[in-house]
Amino acid sequence: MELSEVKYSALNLTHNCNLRCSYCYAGPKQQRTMSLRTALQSVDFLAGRSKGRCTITLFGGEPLLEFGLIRQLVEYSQKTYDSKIAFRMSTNGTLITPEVLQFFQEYDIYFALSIDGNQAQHDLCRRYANNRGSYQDIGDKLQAIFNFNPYTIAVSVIVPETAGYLAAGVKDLFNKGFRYVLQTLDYSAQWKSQDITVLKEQYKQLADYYANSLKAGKRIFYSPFDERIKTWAQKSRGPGDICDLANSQIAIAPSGRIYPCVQFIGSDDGAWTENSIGDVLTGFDANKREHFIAWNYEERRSCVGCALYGRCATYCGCVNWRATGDLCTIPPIICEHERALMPIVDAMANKLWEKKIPLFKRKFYEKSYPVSSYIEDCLIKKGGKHA
Amino acid sequence: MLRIEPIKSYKLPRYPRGLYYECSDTRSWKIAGSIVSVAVLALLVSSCESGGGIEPPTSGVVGPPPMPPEMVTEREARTVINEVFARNGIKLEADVPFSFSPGDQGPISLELDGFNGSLNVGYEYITDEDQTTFTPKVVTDLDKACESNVSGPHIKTIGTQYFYGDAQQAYEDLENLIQDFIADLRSKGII
Repeated sequence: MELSEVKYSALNLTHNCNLRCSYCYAGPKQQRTMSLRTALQSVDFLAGRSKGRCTITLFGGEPLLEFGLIRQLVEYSQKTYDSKIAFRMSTNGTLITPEVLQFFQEYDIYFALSIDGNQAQHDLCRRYANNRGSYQDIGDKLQAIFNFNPYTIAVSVIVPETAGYLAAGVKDLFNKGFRYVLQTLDYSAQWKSQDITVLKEQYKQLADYYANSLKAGKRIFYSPFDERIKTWAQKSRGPGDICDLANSQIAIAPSGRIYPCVQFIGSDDGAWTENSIGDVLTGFDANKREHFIAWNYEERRSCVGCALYGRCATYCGCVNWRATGDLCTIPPIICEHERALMPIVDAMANKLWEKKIPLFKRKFYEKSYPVSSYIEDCLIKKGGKHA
Repeated sequence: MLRIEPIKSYKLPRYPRGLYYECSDTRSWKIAGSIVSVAVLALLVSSCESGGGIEPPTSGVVGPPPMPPEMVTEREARTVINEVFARNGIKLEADVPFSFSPGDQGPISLELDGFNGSLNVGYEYITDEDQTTFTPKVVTDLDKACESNVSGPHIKTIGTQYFYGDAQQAYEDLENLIQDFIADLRSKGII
């Protein structure tokens, strides 16, 4: 088997977090943090295993609990490897300060912000250890965050209890100024048939909103819609396309152990270490790495013959593994969700195509759209107008 | 109770697939795109240097302009399809009234692009004009009716075929589609 170079790695800086989100898949929150030595060894390890650029996503727990470590790590990387290593971060946003933003600006570090939707939706799941909701603390920082990067991505998770807030929550995010919303279900939650009915209704409402936004020339990205339209308009999905665990993407735990993906780290002790595919000091365990890659590339047998094969989320091995214990066995909620969502998305896209909406055509059929859209944004900003 | 249930029949989206996107990356588009991008960047830089803003284009001006794909027209499709049937010894009549009865309701009357009454075999190439008669439900019901009855009818429904640049490839795809359909009927002893 020909192994890919490592292109993406999550660096799990700490097991600790100041929030106790109900759907968190990371292990128990504890004061176990990556040492500076391990952090620097991790950067060396990744730089040595990628021919081109390698993107490191600072992860946790909450990575900003270790801002001092981030500083030293990034400065070392910049000095030693220059632009070969790019840093990104996934954060709950509560610890963002002007000092953090200034440092990130200096080193071109962009981050995705975990924010589920509106306050009611967000605070239902994303709470501090004392049970207080965290929405207000993020809301107060949003303007500064958009000043730092107007393209900051919102990452939203939907659980059965918040399904009924979905449309209002997503609209709220766009109204607040986000332009990119990545949203996923908590596939390991206890979903019921009636929840799917609720989701369908919510997606229909959002489809109208999304279509009207595109008609009005508003450049927004909503992953449940955009990703599915792309699988038809551009390229269907196959093994490795949306999840290339253990191959081009890996994760490194605070201990220095390497895992196929952050979802496999857990508490990084006991039985969890069986998922480890190596260590930054000793390198990859080739057999274990190949085992995970081959496993992930296996056919999803329950999907054979399905008309939506290649268009749905079935190829995310990590999600399958979290929900069923097998990379290739999909949980029923994925199938139910895709069967509910895809016809709504396709019906909306059909209309946008047939009405010749320019932004729809550009988004999905013009390869240079991200660049041309960005240039237009710069021009608009310079001209004193808002997109 | 949630369950895994592969979808056997799904109305294919009407927005075009792939071709358009891939072709926008051909050499000529790359060159055109580069020229436009460089021009716009130069404009942007000069705008920044002079300190003055410029009125931005609202849409579709920057980067390679989107090009709509072409479609295989009804007339072209009929020519290709009829030729394949004829090559296989099946003569079809054009625009034949046809009705069938789905299990859950009364008969539905349609008009087929091509039909052979004695073999009970035919086809319909679905374009925009057919959207009100060949609705997704009707097509699904028709497919079901064809699958459930060995004696027929055996009607092949085909969605509009799109292509970018090379019509010949689209014609060949259409030919293969019909040839496979006929081969399937043969293997089942229907023709």
